[in-house]
Amino acid sequence: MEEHIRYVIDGYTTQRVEDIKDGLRSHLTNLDDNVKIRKVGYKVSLSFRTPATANIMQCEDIDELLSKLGVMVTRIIVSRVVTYESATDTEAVSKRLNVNLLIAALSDGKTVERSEGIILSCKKRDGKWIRI
Amino acid sequence: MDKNLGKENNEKIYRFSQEGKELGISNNVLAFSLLSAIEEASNYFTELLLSKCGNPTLMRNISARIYNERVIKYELFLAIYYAMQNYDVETIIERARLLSSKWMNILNNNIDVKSEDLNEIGTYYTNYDTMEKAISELNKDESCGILNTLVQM
Repeated sequence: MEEHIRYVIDGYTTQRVEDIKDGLRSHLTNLDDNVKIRKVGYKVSLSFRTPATANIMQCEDIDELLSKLGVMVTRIIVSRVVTYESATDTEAVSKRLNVNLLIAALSDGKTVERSEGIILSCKKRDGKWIRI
Repeated sequence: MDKNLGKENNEKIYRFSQEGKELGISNNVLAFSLLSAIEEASNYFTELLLSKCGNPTLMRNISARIYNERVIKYELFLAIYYAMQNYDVETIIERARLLSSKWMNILNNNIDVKSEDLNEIGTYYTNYDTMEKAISELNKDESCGILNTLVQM
């Protein structure tokens, strides 16, 4: 079982996804391969993680970093997550919802990432970052 | 959302889609209405989980991030459905992705909807009650766990 800090960031950009990804990697050297960026029109969502021992970046710092990469950030969610190998316990078909299986599917794969909860979340209002 | 009102509306939409076939209403219109019922069902499941979890930070972030994302709502609905069938993880992910993008395609590209596609959407919808019951049996930790993952999608 491994622990990480996961950052999920929403915003707007005119930049290319690959350029943002490269920029992110050159500014943050402690990222692993799990960097996801989804862009629809100008709307963008970024998701990446750092080791659990790394300092937690504050909203203002994240905003400053991403504005250098051409992303106007509107919302930030920081969570503590643990990852583990997916062991799907196959119980007989029941009417009960298999929560571990659902979380594994929503978290995208063989290695399950389960969130232990949000540790910081904020949004920009009138040019200022407020905790939500 | 008022639980009973939402459910009642959804039942009406489902009935409309069944009776509409007899009345000769086009498959596209019926598919649109069934898909909106599925979207509402997914909203309602999320509401149920939020009320069980009771975490206001999660609630605000889910509201802002998920409620505008139709594709995530479909994926959630389908992932719950397949998880209840105990499919393996890869199959759930693959099927949920495939079908939700098929449904998005129906909504966005105005393609001709075949009768079998319409029936397929209807079949998923008819599992609403079983899914609702399963979600209402989850405890606080399980509900928060699902929402914590959902908010990062």
